Amino acid sequence: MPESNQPDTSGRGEQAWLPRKPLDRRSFLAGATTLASAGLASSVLAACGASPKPKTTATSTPKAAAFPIGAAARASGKPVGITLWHSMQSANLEALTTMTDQFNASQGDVRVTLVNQNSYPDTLSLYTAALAGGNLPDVVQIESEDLQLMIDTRSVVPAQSAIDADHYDLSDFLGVTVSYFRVGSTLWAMPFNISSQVLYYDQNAFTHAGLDPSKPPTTLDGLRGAANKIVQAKVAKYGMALKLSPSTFDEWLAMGGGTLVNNSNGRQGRATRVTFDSSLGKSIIGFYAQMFSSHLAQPASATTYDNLVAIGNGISPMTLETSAALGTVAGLLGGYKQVKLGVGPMPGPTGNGGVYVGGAGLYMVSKSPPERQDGAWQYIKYLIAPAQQATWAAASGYVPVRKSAVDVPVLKARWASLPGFRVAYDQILSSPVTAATAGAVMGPANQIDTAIQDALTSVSQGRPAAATLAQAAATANQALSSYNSRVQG
Amino acid sequence: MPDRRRRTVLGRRASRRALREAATGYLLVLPALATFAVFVFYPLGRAIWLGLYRTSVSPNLPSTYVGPSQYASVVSSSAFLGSLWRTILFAVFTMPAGIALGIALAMLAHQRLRGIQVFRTVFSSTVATSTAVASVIFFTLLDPQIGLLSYWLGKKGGAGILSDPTFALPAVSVVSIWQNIGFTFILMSAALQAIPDTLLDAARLDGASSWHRFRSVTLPLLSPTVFFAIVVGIIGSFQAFGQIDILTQGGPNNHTMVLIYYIYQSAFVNNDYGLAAVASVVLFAILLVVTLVQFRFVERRVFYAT
Repeated sequence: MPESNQPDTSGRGEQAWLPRKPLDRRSFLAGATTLASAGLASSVLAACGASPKPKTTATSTPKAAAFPIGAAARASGKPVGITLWHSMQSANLEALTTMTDQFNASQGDVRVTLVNQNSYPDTLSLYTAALAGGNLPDVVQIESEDLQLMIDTRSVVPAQSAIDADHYDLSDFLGVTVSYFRVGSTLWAMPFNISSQVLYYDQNAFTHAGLDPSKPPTTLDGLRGAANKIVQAKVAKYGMALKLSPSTFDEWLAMGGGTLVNNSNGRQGRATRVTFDSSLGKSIIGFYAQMFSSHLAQPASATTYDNLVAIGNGISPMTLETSAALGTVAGLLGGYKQVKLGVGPMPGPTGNGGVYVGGAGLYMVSKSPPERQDGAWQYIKYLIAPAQQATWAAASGYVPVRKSAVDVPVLKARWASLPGFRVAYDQILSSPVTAATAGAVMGPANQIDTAIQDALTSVSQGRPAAATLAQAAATANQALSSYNSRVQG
Repeated sequence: MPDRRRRTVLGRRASRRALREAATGYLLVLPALATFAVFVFYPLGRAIWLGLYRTSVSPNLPSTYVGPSQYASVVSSSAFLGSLWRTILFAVFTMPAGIALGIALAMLAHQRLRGIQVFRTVFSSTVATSTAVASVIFFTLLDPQIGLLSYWLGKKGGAGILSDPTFALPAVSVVSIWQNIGFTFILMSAALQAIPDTLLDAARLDGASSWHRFRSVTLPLLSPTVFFAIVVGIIGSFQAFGQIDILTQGGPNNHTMVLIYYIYQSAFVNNDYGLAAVASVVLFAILLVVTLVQFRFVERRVFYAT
């Protein structure tokens, strides 16, 4: 407190280094003001000072040891305790907890503890912070787009090494779920909760506008045509809500067969430049510009579900959103009696591409001792088995990562009652495995996302489409080279 | 001050006693000093040092020494300068309006009326709201689909005010002004109550109008508090993080990317601790200079009643 910094020295024995004035209003305010400024400066600096200590010597690269298959069963102290850091909430969390309890009860070698880290960004920052010194999990669920960063942390045992050692068969898996997490010939993480974008629309609005609700648009031209009909028939103010989010742009690029970054979307070598400013990218952002300027689409915030609310309140009867939101959407729109929710495959540019997947993968941590690495692999294998993937997909709305899960009764029954849940699976199943549909693997994924999002925002403000895309490419290229210069080793 | 004369006549024993007293004083300050050393001075030194390194994309990997050139390149980068400019804009948007509103409300509530306490409570209530709560309230109010404010402002539909590059920073500023109004109101109310009635009565007897009384008596006597509010306000606007994180995350198109959020994103999203350390050190230097300038020049114009 300021008083303690201003001792009362009105008595005897004053020295030059002691404050000579008694405390008054002036010095109180002055003292308080100085303290307040010192307080801010220190809190800012403390935040950065807490960061890890720089080292000047290079650490040795981890050697490719054989995966310790069976180490958990041979461990002296059983069961082997392992930890999963995840970001699942509500219904998804319940399903994950149930599956984990069943796994723990099904065998005596491995005991899994779940740690809920709230969100993908939180999990990632806690994980990287723990790498600098702290308790690491044995398995961590990380959002798909952070693949390159996870590789660059050099803290991961590739799933490939366990697959090779265990002769695990991936032929039952949906092609693009595996190709997403594969760089070169190494599968880094196991796909676990997978989704893709789909079309959500109000079937009643389609009927009122003279459109066939059983045949939602599948191309960009079809989308524009349907939006136009809805606006012309005065069924709604806009034909659709178009999120200013990079995921739709990225999905369209993949559907048109285009890549986001060079070196085959970063699959054949580290991405060094973006390629989204191609003629395909230009035509996609031109589509955005045209939809906004003709008032056929309303721009919607990238970070909220406003686009879904717009279906409910009848402002925009169509939107594009991740299939993982279907549970939320169905619940939300249940409150709007005049709306009959329809789900269609993602409309997009016609080309030799297909959808790429979103969601998250499970990574095994290399710092764990062999028995825990093996325990992690046993647990992951359990979670991606057909029965568990069926349970998981039925409870969560995510797409099962393997084909045989579709024949499991629990999922069959769920999809029979709610056919909308099947749409994302079908389009992921039919998506060809190419560099475009693998999705981009790039270090500064977050910054490149922001650059694309900024371009979409500018276009929604009426700025020229081609120039904003070029600007986004320049910003993204700078982010890529800055990131790549910091990778080292 | 009579001290100097007195000091020369003091004997050696007295001087030793004074020394012992000073030692006691420093001993008493030591715990606070130690805390500052551990949590302020040490991190400050580390941040300056960290600014000399290009840190890796992951904190477990080695950093490269690049030297002071990193300071030069960060400070001259458009991202840094842009964030600094938006921080200044944010301060200009929030501070004068916030202080003027605080004084106005304090004047309103400085009446002897029945039930005035109710208004005082209402005016000061935002001090009990956390930044997070205030931000979430305004986030809902500004929502283009369901927000009341968007409806009143005729901004229904579309991407919304917070996604509009022109209005995002003003909107965030309004939230900050609203949230800080309680604090400013309490400061100004306390200062108003400390003004002796005799001065205002004397002015009234001299025939001064109410505006004249406010301008020539009340405002000068409020000036130390206003000065305090300005300094705290500038620091507060350099510190604005929560509302930006919740409302806009620095967007749209970096229009709300103030310096502190730029530092946060660099460090904790992009893992670029070296860059963030440089920006923090520069922010520290800027605040130091701003505070010194304020004391040097602004404080002269402040009237301190003793």
